[in-house]
Amino acid sequence: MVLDGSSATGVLAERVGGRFLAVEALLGRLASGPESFVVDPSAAGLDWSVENQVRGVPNRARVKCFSPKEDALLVWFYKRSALSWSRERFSYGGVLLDAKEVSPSTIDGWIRYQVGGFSPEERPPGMRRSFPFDLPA
Amino acid sequence: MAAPLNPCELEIDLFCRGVRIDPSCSLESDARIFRRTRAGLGSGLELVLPGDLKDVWMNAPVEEDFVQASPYRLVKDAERYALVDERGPVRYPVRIPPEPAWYERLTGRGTPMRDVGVLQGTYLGIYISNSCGYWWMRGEGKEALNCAFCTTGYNVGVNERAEKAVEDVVEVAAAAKAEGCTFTHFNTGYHGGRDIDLVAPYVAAVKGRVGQLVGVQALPARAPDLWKYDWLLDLGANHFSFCWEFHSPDWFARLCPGKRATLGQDAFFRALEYCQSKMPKGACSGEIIAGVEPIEWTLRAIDDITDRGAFPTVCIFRPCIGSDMEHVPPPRPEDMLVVMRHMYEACRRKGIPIGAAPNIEVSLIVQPDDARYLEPRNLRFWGREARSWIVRRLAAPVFARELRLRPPKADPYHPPRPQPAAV
Repeated sequence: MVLDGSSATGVLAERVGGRFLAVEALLGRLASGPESFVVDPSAAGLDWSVENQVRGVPNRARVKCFSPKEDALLVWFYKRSALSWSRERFSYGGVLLDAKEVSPSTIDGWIRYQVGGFSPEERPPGMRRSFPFDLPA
Repeated sequence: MAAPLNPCELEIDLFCRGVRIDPSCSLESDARIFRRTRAGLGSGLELVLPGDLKDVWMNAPVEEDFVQASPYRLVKDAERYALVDERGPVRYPVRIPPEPAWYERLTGRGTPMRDVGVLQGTYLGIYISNSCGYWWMRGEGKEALNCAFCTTGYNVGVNERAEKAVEDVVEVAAAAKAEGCTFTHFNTGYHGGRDIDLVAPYVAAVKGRVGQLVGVQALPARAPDLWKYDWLLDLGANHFSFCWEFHSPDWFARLCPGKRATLGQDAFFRALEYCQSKMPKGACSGEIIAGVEPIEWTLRAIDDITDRGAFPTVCIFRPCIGSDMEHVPPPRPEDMLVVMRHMYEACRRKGIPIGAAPNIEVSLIVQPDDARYLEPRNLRFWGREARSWIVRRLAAPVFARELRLRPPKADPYHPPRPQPAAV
Protein backbone atom coordinates (compact mmCIF):
# COMPACT_ATOMS: atom_id res chain seq x y z
CA MET A 1 0.00 0.00 0.00
CA VAL A 2 1.67 3.25 -1.17
CA LEU A 3 1.40 6.06 1.36
CA ASP A 4 0.07 9.36 0.06
CA GLY A 5 -2.16 12.21 1.12
CA SER A 6 -5.28 10.05 0.91
CA SER A 7 -3.94 7.27 3.16
CA ALA A 8 -5.85 6.54 6.34
CA THR A 9 -2.92 7.32 8.60
CA GLY A 10 -5.03 7.05 11.75
CA VAL A 11 -5.84 3.42 10.96
CA LEU A 12 -2.24 2.67 10.13
CA ALA A 13 -1.05 4.24 13.38
CA GLU A 14 -3.16 1.72 15.31
CA ARG A 15 -1.03 -1.10 13.90
CA VAL A 16 1.75 -0.07 16.24
CA GLY A 17 -0.21 -1.22 19.30
CA GLY A 18 -0.64 1.98 21.27
CA ARG A 19 -1.00 5.69 20.71
CA PHE A 20 2.27 7.41 20.04
CA LEU A 21 2.69 10.99 18.93
CA ALA A 22 5.88 10.03 17.14
CA VAL A 23 4.03 7.57 14.91
CA GLU A 24 1.38 10.09 13.96
CA ALA A 25 4.04 12.64 13.05
CA LEU A 26 6.03 10.02 11.19
CA LEU A 27 3.05 8.90 9.11
CA GLY A 28 2.24 12.50 8.25
CA ARG A 29 5.79 12.97 7.01
CA LEU A 30 5.78 9.70 5.03
CA ALA A 31 2.47 10.52 3.34
CA SER A 32 3.44 14.05 2.37
CA GLY A 33 7.09 13.63 1.41
CA PRO A 34 8.54 13.41 -2.09
CA GLU A 35 9.58 9.76 -1.70
CA SER A 36 7.27 6.82 -2.31
CA PHE A 37 6.81 4.67 0.81
CA VAL A 38 5.02 1.32 0.73
CA VAL A 39 3.41 -0.18 3.84
CA ASP A 40 3.40 -3.97 4.17
CA PRO A 41 0.00 -4.91 5.62
CA SER A 42 1.09 -8.51 6.22
CA ALA A 43 3.93 -7.53 8.56
CA ALA A 44 3.58 -7.07 12.29
CA GLY A 45 3.41 -3.47 13.50
CA LEU A 46 3.73 -0.61 11.04
CA ASP A 47 6.31 -1.76 8.50
CA TRP A 48 7.31 0.06 5.33
CA SER A 49 9.85 0.14 2.53
CA VAL A 50 10.83 2.94 0.15
CA GLU A 51 10.80 2.76 -3.63
CA ASN A 52 14.11 4.20 -4.70
CA GLN A 53 17.53 3.02 -5.78
CA VAL A 54 20.79 3.27 -3.88
CA ARG A 55 24.04 2.97 -5.84
CA GLY A 56 22.13 1.57 -8.80
CA VAL A 57 20.21 -1.19 -7.04
CA PRO A 58 16.77 -1.25 -5.38
CA ASN A 59 16.82 0.04 -1.81
CA ARG A 60 16.07 -2.78 0.64
CA ALA A 61 15.97 -0.59 3.74
CA ARG A 62 12.86 -1.12 5.86
CA VAL A 63 11.49 0.45 9.00
CA LYS A 64 9.17 -1.18 11.50
CA CYS A 65 7.42 0.62 14.33
CA PHE A 66 5.88 -1.42 17.11
CA SER A 67 5.27 -1.27 20.80
CA PRO A 68 7.23 -3.97 22.66
CA LYS A 69 5.62 -3.01 25.98
CA GLU A 70 3.24 -0.38 27.31
CA ASP A 71 4.26 3.20 26.54
CA ALA A 72 7.35 2.07 24.65
CA LEU A 73 7.87 2.42 20.92
CA LEU A 74 10.64 0.90 18.90
CA VAL A 75 11.54 2.37 15.51
CA TRP A 76 13.55 -0.48 14.09
CA PHE A 77 15.72 -0.30 10.95
CA TYR A 78 16.35 -3.54 9.10
CA LYS A 79 16.58 -5.38 5.81
CA ARG A 80 14.89 -8.60 4.81
CA SER A 81 16.72 -11.52 3.28
CA ALA A 82 17.20 -11.39 -0.48
CA LEU A 83 16.03 -15.01 -0.61
CA SER A 84 12.30 -15.36 -0.97
CA TRP A 85 12.00 -18.36 1.34
CA SER A 86 14.35 -17.09 4.03
CA ARG A 87 12.97 -15.49 7.20
CA GLU A 88 16.39 -14.01 8.03
CA ARG A 89 16.37 -10.31 8.89
CA PHE A 90 19.33 -8.00 9.16
CA SER A 91 19.13 -5.45 11.93
CA TYR A 92 20.75 -2.04 11.83
CA GLY A 93 19.52 -1.15 15.30
CA GLY A 94 16.66 1.03 16.39
CA VAL A 95 15.47 3.90 18.52
CA LEU A 96 13.49 3.11 21.66
CA LEU A 97 11.06 5.89 22.62
CA ASP A 98 8.32 6.64 25.08
CA ALA A 99 4.97 8.25 24.28
CA LYS A 100 6.38 11.79 24.09
CA GLU A 101 6.52 13.93 20.99
CA VAL A 102 9.52 13.67 18.67
CA SER A 103 10.99 16.62 16.79
CA PRO A 104 10.48 16.88 13.01
CA SER A 105 14.24 16.93 12.54
CA THR A 106 14.54 13.58 14.35
CA ILE A 107 11.90 12.09 12.07
CA ASP A 108 13.62 13.54 9.02
CA GLY A 109 16.82 11.89 10.21
CA TRP A 110 15.14 8.47 10.35
CA ILE A 111 13.70 8.91 6.87
CA ARG A 112 16.99 10.15 5.46
CA TYR A 113 18.64 7.05 6.91
CA GLN A 114 16.13 4.77 5.19
CA VAL A 115 16.12 6.60 1.86
CA GLY A 116 19.93 6.47 1.81
CA GLY A 117 19.88 2.69 2.25
CA PHE A 118 21.19 2.88 5.84
CA SER A 119 24.37 4.67 5.00
CA PRO A 120 26.59 4.73 8.13
CA GLU A 121 27.09 8.50 7.67
CA GLU A 122 23.34 9.03 8.10
CA ARG A 123 22.99 6.83 11.17
CA PRO A 124 20.52 8.59 13.52
CA PRO A 125 21.72 9.49 16.99
CA GLY A 126 20.52 7.48 19.97
CA MET A 127 20.39 4.16 18.13
CA ARG A 128 20.54 0.93 20.12
CA ARG A 129 22.14 -2.10 18.55
CA SER A 130 20.25 -4.81 20.42
CA PHE A 131 17.06 -5.24 22.40
CA PRO A 132 15.89 -7.39 25.31
CA PHE A 133 12.70 -8.47 23.53
CA ASP A 134 11.64 -10.27 20.37
CA LEU A 135 11.23 -8.35 17.14
CA PRO A 136 8.03 -9.62 15.49
CA ALA A 137 8.03 -10.47 11.80
CA MET B 1 34.23 -14.68 -25.85
CA ALA B 2 36.37 -15.05 -22.75
CA ALA B 3 37.56 -18.55 -21.85
CA PRO B 4 35.75 -20.32 -19.01
CA LEU B 5 37.31 -19.69 -15.63
CA ASN B 6 39.14 -22.40 -13.74
CA PRO B 7 37.74 -23.29 -10.28
CA CYS B 8 39.97 -20.85 -8.40
CA GLU B 9 39.36 -17.98 -10.83
CA LEU B 10 35.65 -18.70 -10.52
CA GLU B 11 35.90 -18.78 -6.73
CA ILE B 12 37.56 -15.36 -6.74
CA ASP B 13 35.03 -13.94 -9.19
CA LEU B 14 32.17 -15.24 -7.05
CA PHE B 15 33.63 -13.81 -3.85
CA CYS B 16 33.80 -10.42 -5.57
CA ARG B 17 30.46 -10.49 -7.39
CA GLY B 18 28.23 -12.90 -5.47
CA VAL B 19 25.53 -15.08 -6.95
CA ARG B 20 21.83 -14.50 -7.58
CA ILE B 21 19.46 -17.35 -6.85
CA ASP B 22 17.11 -18.38 -9.64
CA PRO B 23 13.55 -19.40 -8.69
CA SER B 24 14.28 -22.88 -10.12
CA CYS B 25 16.48 -23.57 -7.05
CA SER B 26 15.18 -25.29 -3.96
CA LEU B 27 17.92 -24.35 -1.56
CA GLU B 28 15.57 -24.43 1.40
CA SER B 29 15.70 -28.21 1.13
CA ASP B 30 18.95 -28.78 -0.77
CA ALA B 31 21.43 -26.50 0.99
CA ARG B 32 22.76 -25.87 4.44
CA ILE B 33 20.75 -23.38 6.38
CA PHE B 34 21.76 -19.76 5.77
CA ARG B 35 22.83 -18.11 8.97
CA ARG B 36 24.49 -14.82 9.61
CA THR B 37 27.35 -15.93 11.77
CA ARG B 38 29.34 -13.55 13.83
CA ALA B 39 31.55 -11.55 11.54
CA GLY B 40 29.27 -12.24 8.59
CA LEU B 41 31.66 -13.96 6.20
CA GLY B 42 29.84 -17.28 6.43
CA SER B 43 26.41 -15.85 5.75
CA GLY B 44 26.24 -16.89 2.12
CA LEU B 45 25.70 -20.02 0.09
CA GLU B 46 28.07 -22.95 0.55
CA LEU B 47 29.17 -24.14 -2.89
CA VAL B 48 31.58 -26.74 -4.23
CA LEU B 49 33.26 -25.95 -7.53
CA PRO B 50 34.49 -29.23 -9.02
CA GLY B 51 37.95 -29.38 -10.55
CA ASP B 52 40.62 -31.84 -11.63
CA LEU B 53 43.20 -30.85 -8.99
CA LYS B 54 40.73 -30.56 -6.16
CA ASP B 55 37.17 -29.47 -5.52
CA VAL B 56 37.05 -25.87 -4.32
CA TRP B 57 34.74 -25.03 -1.41
CA MET B 58 33.45 -21.52 -1.01
CA ASN B 59 30.77 -19.45 0.65
CA ALA B 60 29.32 -17.21 -2.06
CA PRO B 61 27.72 -13.89 -1.11
CA VAL B 62 23.97 -13.89 -1.77
CA GLU B 63 22.45 -11.41 0.68
CA GLU B 64 24.52 -8.29 0.11
CA ASP B 65 23.18 -5.50 -2.09
CA PHE B 66 26.06 -5.71 -4.56
CA VAL B 67 24.96 -9.24 -5.44
CA GLN B 68 21.92 -7.84 -7.25
CA ALA B 69 24.26 -6.76 -10.04
CA SER B 70 26.11 -10.10 -10.25
CA PRO B 71 26.34 -11.80 -13.66
CA TYR B 72 26.16 -15.19 -11.92
CA ARG B 73 22.82 -16.91 -11.48
CA LEU B 74 22.43 -20.24 -9.72
CA VAL B 75 19.95 -22.48 -11.53
CA LYS B 76 18.62 -25.98 -10.90
CA ASP B 77 17.94 -28.20 -13.85
CA ALA B 78 17.05 -31.90 -13.64
CA GLU B 79 18.14 -32.05 -9.99
CA ARG B 80 21.55 -30.59 -10.81
CA TYR B 81 22.82 -27.14 -9.97
CA ALA B 82 24.86 -24.89 -12.23
CA LEU B 83 26.10 -21.34 -12.32
CA VAL B 84 25.11 -19.43 -15.42
CA ASP B 85 27.38 -16.53 -16.32
CA GLU B 86 25.08 -14.11 -18.09
CA ARG B 87 28.01 -12.28 -19.71
CA GLY B 88 28.35 -15.17 -22.15
CA PRO B 89 27.14 -18.71 -22.82
CA VAL B 90 29.14 -20.23 -19.98
CA ARG B 91 27.66 -22.66 -17.51
CA TYR B 92 29.58 -24.07 -14.56
CA PRO B 93 28.31 -27.22 -12.85
CA VAL B 94 28.45 -26.88 -9.07
CA ARG B 95 27.53 -28.96 -6.07
CA ILE B 96 25.50 -27.76 -3.13
CA PRO B 97 26.72 -29.48 0.03
CA PRO B 98 23.72 -30.77 1.95
CA GLU B 99 23.00 -29.91 5.53
CA PRO B 100 24.74 -32.32 7.89
CA ALA B 101 22.32 -34.66 9.66
CA TRP B 102 23.37 -33.43 13.10
CA TYR B 103 22.16 -29.86 12.39
CA GLU B 104 18.64 -31.03 13.27
CA ARG B 105 19.60 -32.84 16.46
CA LEU B 106 19.64 -31.66 20.06
CA THR B 107 22.44 -32.13 22.54
CA GLY B 108 21.78 -34.00 25.77
CA ARG B 109 21.14 -30.64 27.41
CA GLY B 110 18.47 -29.85 24.81
CA THR B 111 20.51 -27.31 22.81
CA PRO B 112 20.01 -27.41 19.02
CA MET B 113 23.35 -28.62 17.72
CA ARG B 114 23.40 -26.05 14.92
CA ASP B 115 23.27 -23.32 17.56
CA VAL B 116 26.54 -24.62 18.95
CA GLY B 117 28.64 -24.90 15.81
CA VAL B 118 28.45 -24.57 12.04
CA LEU B 119 30.25 -26.26 9.17
CA GLN B 120 32.10 -23.70 7.08
CA GLY B 121 33.35 -25.88 4.27
CA THR B 122 34.30 -29.15 5.94
CA TYR B 123 35.49 -27.84 9.30
CA LEU B 124 33.45 -27.13 12.41
CA GLY B 125 33.46 -23.50 13.52
CA ILE B 126 32.48 -22.80 17.11
CA TYR B 127 32.20 -19.36 18.60
CA ILE B 128 32.67 -19.84 22.28
CA SER B 129 30.83 -16.69 23.20
CA ASN B 130 28.21 -14.65 21.44
CA SER B 131 29.69 -11.31 22.26
CA CYS B 132 32.78 -9.32 21.32
CA GLY B 133 33.75 -6.66 23.85
CA TYR B 134 34.57 -4.12 21.16
CA TRP B 135 30.88 -3.73 20.45
CA TRP B 136 30.36 -2.55 24.01
CA MET B 137 33.32 -0.18 24.26
CA ARG B 138 32.87 3.47 23.45
CA GLY B 139 35.59 5.90 22.53
CA GLU B 140 37.16 8.08 19.87
CA GLY B 141 33.74 9.65 19.21
CA LYS B 142 32.31 6.26 18.19
CA GLU B 143 29.35 4.46 19.71
CA ALA B 144 31.37 1.24 19.61
CA LEU B 145 34.94 0.17 18.84
CA ASN B 146 33.97 -2.79 16.66
CA CYS B 147 35.91 -3.61 13.52
CA ALA B 148 34.23 -1.79 10.64
CA PHE B 149 33.70 -4.90 8.49
CA CYS B 150 32.15 -6.96 11.30
CA THR B 151 28.48 -7.57 12.14
CA THR B 152 28.84 -9.54 15.37
CA GLY B 153 27.10 -7.05 17.59
CA TYR B 154 23.89 -7.09 15.59
CA ASN B 155 23.33 -10.81 15.98
CA VAL B 156 20.21 -11.90 17.74
CA GLY B 157 20.82 -13.03 21.27
CA VAL B 158 23.86 -10.89 21.72
CA ASN B 159 22.68 -9.76 25.13
CA GLU B 160 22.15 -13.28 26.30
CA ARG B 161 25.86 -13.98 26.58
CA ALA B 162 25.22 -17.28 24.88
CA GLU B 163 28.41 -18.98 25.96
CA LYS B 164 28.68 -22.56 24.80
CA ALA B 165 28.58 -25.34 27.38
CA VAL B 166 31.61 -27.59 27.12
CA GLU B 167 29.35 -30.66 27.16
CA ASP B 168 27.37 -29.31 24.19
CA VAL B 169 30.56 -28.59 22.29
CA VAL B 170 31.87 -32.10 22.88
CA GLU B 171 28.64 -33.63 21.61
CA VAL B 172 28.58 -31.46 18.51
CA ALA B 173 32.24 -32.06 17.69
CA ALA B 174 31.67 -35.81 18.10
CA ALA B 175 28.63 -35.69 15.82
CA ALA B 176 30.60 -33.75 13.21
CA LYS B 177 33.53 -36.16 13.47
CA ALA B 178 31.17 -39.09 12.90
CA GLU B 179 30.35 -37.48 9.53
CA GLY B 180 33.99 -37.03 8.58
CA CYS B 181 34.91 -33.67 10.08
CA THR B 182 38.55 -33.61 11.21
CA PHE B 183 38.98 -30.06 12.49
CA THR B 184 37.24 -27.93 15.09
CA HIS B 185 38.09 -24.27 15.10
CA PHE B 186 37.29 -22.09 18.11
CA ASN B 187 37.18 -18.36 17.98
CA THR B 188 36.28 -15.54 20.26
CA GLY B 189 35.80 -11.82 20.27
CA TYR B 190 37.49 -9.51 22.76
CA HIS B 191 37.19 -10.55 26.39
CA GLY B 192 39.46 -8.11 28.14
CA GLY B 193 42.59 -10.23 27.94
CA ARG B 194 40.94 -13.42 29.25
CA ASP B 195 40.37 -14.88 25.79
CA ILE B 196 42.82 -17.75 26.02
CA ASP B 197 41.64 -18.73 29.50
CA LEU B 198 38.09 -18.94 28.14
CA VAL B 199 38.98 -21.17 25.21
CA ALA B 200 41.23 -23.58 27.14
CA PRO B 201 38.53 -25.93 28.52
CA TYR B 202 37.03 -26.35 25.05
CA VAL B 203 40.39 -27.24 23.51
CA ALA B 204 41.08 -29.84 26.19
CA ALA B 205 37.59 -31.33 25.93
CA VAL B 206 37.58 -31.74 22.15
CA LYS B 207 41.12 -33.10 22.05
CA GLY B 208 40.67 -35.38 25.01
CA ARG B 209 37.13 -36.64 24.41
CA VAL B 210 36.55 -36.34 20.66
CA GLY B 211 39.98 -36.55 19.06
CA GLN B 212 40.11 -33.90 16.36
CA LEU B 213 42.55 -31.33 15.13
CA VAL B 214 41.86 -28.19 17.14
CA GLY B 215 42.44 -24.59 16.10
CA VAL B 216 42.16 -21.40 18.12
CA GLN B 217 41.56 -17.90 16.90
CA ALA B 218 41.56 -15.43 19.75
CA LEU B 219 42.88 -11.95 20.33
CA PRO B 220 46.62 -12.29 20.95
CA ALA B 221 48.02 -12.60 24.43
CA ARG B 222 50.11 -9.66 25.57
CA ALA B 223 53.88 -10.14 25.75
CA PRO B 224 53.98 -11.20 29.44
CA ASP B 225 51.28 -13.80 28.80
CA LEU B 226 52.67 -15.53 25.73
CA TRP B 227 53.32 -18.62 27.88
CA LYS B 228 49.58 -19.25 27.70
CA TYR B 229 50.07 -20.59 24.19
CA ASP B 230 52.33 -23.29 25.65
CA TRP B 231 49.48 -24.13 27.97
CA LEU B 232 47.09 -24.45 25.01
CA LEU B 233 49.61 -26.65 23.22
CA ASP B 234 49.71 -28.91 26.28
CA LEU B 235 45.93 -29.03 26.14
CA GLY B 236 46.02 -30.19 22.53
CA ALA B 237 45.83 -27.14 20.25
CA ASN B 238 47.17 -27.81 16.75
CA HIS B 239 46.72 -24.44 15.14
CA PHE B 240 46.58 -20.77 16.03
CA SER B 241 45.42 -17.98 13.78
CA PHE B 242 45.87 -14.28 14.33
CA CYS B 243 43.70 -11.73 12.59
CA TRP B 244 45.14 -8.28 12.27
CA GLU B 245 43.06 -7.80 9.13
CA PHE B 246 44.96 -4.88 7.61
CA HIS B 247 48.72 -4.67 7.30
CA SER B 248 48.98 -0.93 6.84
CA PRO B 249 49.12 0.59 10.34
CA ASP B 250 46.86 3.43 9.18
CA TRP B 251 44.16 1.13 7.78
CA PHE B 252 44.43 -1.10 10.83
CA ALA B 253 43.94 1.87 13.15
CA ARG B 254 41.05 3.27 11.16
CA LEU B 255 39.07 0.07 10.62
CA CYS B 256 39.95 -1.91 13.75
CA PRO B 257 39.70 0.77 16.45
CA GLY B 258 39.16 -1.72 19.26
CA LYS B 259 42.17 -3.82 18.33
CA ARG B 260 44.26 -0.68 18.02
CA ALA B 261 43.12 0.73 21.36
CA THR B 262 43.55 -2.46 23.37
CA LEU B 263 46.41 -4.35 21.73
CA GLY B 264 48.06 -2.70 18.75
CA GLN B 265 49.20 -4.41 15.59
CA ASP B 266 52.53 -5.56 17.06
CA ALA B 267 50.75 -7.83 19.53
CA PHE B 268 49.48 -9.91 16.60
CA PHE B 269 52.91 -10.16 14.96
CA ARG B 270 54.55 -11.08 18.27
CA ALA B 271 52.03 -13.79 19.11
CA LEU B 272 52.22 -15.28 15.61
CA GLU B 273 55.99 -15.38 15.77
CA TYR B 274 55.95 -16.92 19.24
CA CYS B 275 53.49 -19.67 18.36
CA GLN B 276 54.95 -20.50 14.97
CA SER B 277 58.41 -20.83 16.52
CA LYS B 278 57.04 -23.65 18.71
CA MET B 279 55.08 -25.50 16.06
CA PRO B 280 55.69 -27.21 12.72
CA LYS B 281 55.99 -24.94 9.70
CA GLY B 282 52.59 -23.85 8.47
CA ALA B 283 50.78 -24.73 11.70
CA CYS B 284 49.89 -21.10 12.39
CA SER B 285 48.33 -18.49 10.19
CA GLY B 286 48.08 -14.75 9.89
CA GLU B 287 44.70 -13.59 8.69
CA ILE B 288 44.18 -10.53 6.57
CA ILE B 289 41.43 -9.00 4.49
CA ALA B 290 42.27 -8.26 0.87
CA GLY B 291 40.51 -5.64 -1.19
CA VAL B 292 40.31 -2.69 1.18
CA GLU B 293 43.83 -1.37 1.76
CA PRO B 294 46.05 -0.93 -1.33
CA ILE B 295 47.09 -4.39 -2.49
CA GLU B 296 50.78 -3.55 -2.03
CA TRP B 297 50.07 -3.80 1.71
CA THR B 298 48.31 -7.13 1.28
CA LEU B 299 51.24 -8.52 -0.69
CA ARG B 300 53.60 -7.29 2.01
CA ALA B 301 51.42 -8.96 4.66
CA ILE B 302 51.65 -12.26 2.79
CA ASP B 303 55.43 -11.92 2.63
CA ASP B 304 55.69 -11.13 6.35
CA ILE B 305 53.44 -14.03 7.33
CA THR B 306 55.26 -16.56 5.18
CA ASP B 307 58.66 -15.20 6.30
CA ARG B 308 57.62 -16.26 9.79
CA GLY B 309 56.87 -19.79 8.57
CA ALA B 310 53.11 -19.36 8.88
CA PHE B 311 50.52 -19.57 6.14
CA PRO B 312 48.43 -16.62 5.03
CA THR B 313 44.67 -16.76 5.44
CA VAL B 314 43.48 -14.19 2.95
CA CYS B 315 39.79 -13.25 3.07
CA ILE B 316 38.40 -11.35 0.14
CA PHE B 317 36.61 -8.34 1.57
CA ARG B 318 32.85 -8.83 1.74
CA PRO B 319 30.81 -5.71 2.50
CA CYS B 320 28.53 -7.62 4.81
CA ILE B 321 25.00 -6.45 5.11
CA GLY B 322 24.63 -4.29 8.18
CA SER B 323 28.34 -3.68 8.73
CA ASP B 324 29.85 -0.21 8.89
CA MET B 325 31.52 -0.99 5.54
CA GLU B 326 28.39 -2.28 3.84
CA HIS B 327 28.51 0.47 1.24
CA VAL B 328 32.15 -0.02 0.34
CA PRO B 329 32.28 -1.80 -3.04
CA PRO B 330 33.72 -5.32 -3.12
CA PRO B 331 37.21 -5.61 -4.62
CA ARG B 332 37.99 -6.13 -8.29
CA PRO B 333 38.55 -9.79 -9.21
CA GLU B 334 41.65 -8.82 -11.23
CA ASP B 335 43.29 -7.42 -8.10
CA MET B 336 42.36 -10.48 -6.06
CA LEU B 337 43.92 -12.73 -8.69
CA VAL B 338 47.20 -10.87 -8.19
CA VAL B 339 46.92 -11.34 -4.42
CA MET B 340 46.11 -15.05 -4.59
CA ARG B 341 48.87 -15.78 -7.09
CA HIS B 342 51.27 -14.00 -4.74
CA MET B 343 49.96 -16.03 -1.79
CA TYR B 344 50.50 -19.29 -3.64
CA GLU B 345 53.97 -18.33 -4.85
CA ALA B 346 55.05 -17.16 -1.39
CA CYS B 347 53.94 -20.43 0.20
CA ARG B 348 55.70 -22.49 -2.44
CA ARG B 349 58.89 -20.43 -2.44
CA LYS B 350 59.22 -20.57 1.35
CA GLY B 351 58.26 -24.21 1.70
CA ILE B 352 55.03 -23.64 3.63
CA PRO B 353 53.12 -26.91 3.34
CA ILE B 354 49.73 -26.46 1.70
CA GLY B 355 46.86 -28.91 1.55
CA ALA B 356 48.63 -31.36 3.85
CA ALA B 357 45.98 -31.62 6.58
CA PRO B 358 43.27 -34.20 5.97
CA ASN B 359 39.86 -33.00 4.77
CA ILE B 360 40.11 -29.35 5.81
CA GLU B 361 38.32 -27.17 3.31
CA VAL B 362 37.66 -23.62 4.46
CA SER B 363 34.84 -22.05 2.52
CA LEU B 364 35.37 -18.48 3.72
CA ILE B 365 38.68 -17.92 2.00
CA VAL B 366 40.73 -18.79 -1.04
CA GLN B 367 42.94 -21.49 0.45
CA PRO B 368 46.57 -21.57 -0.66
CA ASP B 369 45.98 -24.95 -2.29
CA ASP B 370 42.94 -23.62 -4.17
CA ALA B 371 45.42 -21.26 -5.82
CA ARG B 372 47.24 -24.21 -7.43
CA TYR B 373 44.80 -23.64 -10.28
CA LEU B 374 46.42 -20.25 -10.91
CA GLU B 375 49.84 -21.68 -11.78
CA PRO B 376 50.56 -22.75 -15.36
CA ARG B 377 50.71 -26.54 -15.75
CA ASN B 378 54.39 -26.77 -16.62
CA LEU B 379 57.28 -28.82 -15.33
CA ARG B 380 57.74 -26.59 -12.29
CA PHE B 381 54.07 -27.03 -11.40
CA TRP B 382 54.23 -30.82 -11.55
CA GLY B 383 57.46 -30.81 -9.56
CA ARG B 384 55.73 -28.83 -6.84
CA GLU B 385 52.75 -31.17 -6.96
CA ALA B 386 55.08 -34.14 -6.49
CA ARG B 387 56.67 -32.48 -3.46
CA SER B 388 53.23 -31.78 -2.01
CA TRP B 389 52.29 -35.43 -2.49
CA ILE B 390 55.36 -36.53 -0.58
CA VAL B 391 54.67 -34.04 2.24
CA ARG B 392 51.10 -35.32 2.50
CA ARG B 393 52.32 -38.91 2.76
CA LEU B 394 54.90 -38.03 5.39
CA ALA B 395 52.39 -35.96 7.38
CA ALA B 396 49.62 -38.58 7.27
CA PRO B 397 50.77 -40.58 10.32
CA VAL B 398 51.25 -37.34 12.30
CA PHE B 399 47.69 -36.24 11.56
CA ALA B 400 46.37 -39.73 12.26
CA ARG B 401 47.95 -39.54 15.71
CA GLU B 402 46.45 -36.10 16.28
CA LEU B 403 43.00 -37.42 15.42
CA ARG B 404 43.11 -39.85 18.33
CA LEU B 405 41.98 -39.00 21.84
CA ARG B 406 44.69 -37.21 23.73
CA PRO B 407 44.34 -36.56 27.46
CA PRO B 408 45.37 -32.99 28.33
CA LYS B 409 48.79 -32.53 29.88
CA ALA B 410 47.62 -29.55 31.94
CA ASP B 411 44.63 -28.33 33.91
CA PRO B 412 42.34 -26.50 31.43
CA TYR B 413 40.59 -24.54 34.16
CA HIS B 414 43.67 -23.31 36.00
CA PRO B 415 46.52 -21.80 34.02
CA PRO B 416 49.87 -23.02 35.27
CA ARG B 417 50.96 -19.50 36.21
CA PRO B 418 49.16 -16.77 38.18
CA GLN B 419 46.58 -14.74 36.30
CA PRO B 420 47.88 -11.37 35.13
CA ALA B 421 46.54 -8.23 36.73
CA ALA B 422 43.12 -7.20 35.41
CA VAL B 423 43.30 -5.17 32.21
